[in-house]
Amino acid sequence: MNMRIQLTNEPIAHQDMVENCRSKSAGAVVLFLGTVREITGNEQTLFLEYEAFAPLAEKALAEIAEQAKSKWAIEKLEIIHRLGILQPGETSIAVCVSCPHRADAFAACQQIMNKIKEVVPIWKKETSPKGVSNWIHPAN
Amino acid sequence: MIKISVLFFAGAREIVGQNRLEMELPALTSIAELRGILMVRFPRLESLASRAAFAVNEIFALPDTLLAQNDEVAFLPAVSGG
Repeated sequence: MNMRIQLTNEPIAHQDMVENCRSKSAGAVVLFLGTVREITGNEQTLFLEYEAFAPLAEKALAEIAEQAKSKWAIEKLEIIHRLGILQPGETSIAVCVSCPHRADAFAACQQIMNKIKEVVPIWKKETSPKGVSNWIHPAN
Repeated sequence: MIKISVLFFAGAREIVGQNRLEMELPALTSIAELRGILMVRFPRLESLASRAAFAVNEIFALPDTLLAQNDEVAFLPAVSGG
């Protein structure tokens, strides 16, 4: 399986990921983009800052990719997570999966995202227009 | 005694005030025991500790993982990537 795992401080070129994941044996290419939301509930976000424990985050992403590969017929897989400061609307994560059939591609992409949000050591800090900053550590 | 270092990230780093702490501990201290020591030294970490994971030398660790000389421990509060 062709696979790319990357943490980057640069904007994510998701069009390139989609082109990379195309293949004649893949009938389905699924792209997920996580983007910075400006309004959560009643709170406005001015910008987000992402930080990672990079060596372990890369290992954890590779392990999640391997688990997905063992479960579904994945042709190609790319996962790129952005780090640093992001403005509303920018892409924080992109997951692109290609499979022979769409059910596998949707399921694999979904599970990969769920696992990333659960275990990969990456954190975000929200800053409001008033300048109040908070690291987000979900309580459950 | 053994010398180890502990890395802190995100909200934990803000509570501790630094991203890396050098510590001296009795040999064969476990991750669970280190957690207890950190809670005494930095009581405000308690709010993050219940859901925190630990890694030793860039590998996820269990509470009964024992520490050795020059180990690099990472205190990993609940994650929020994606």
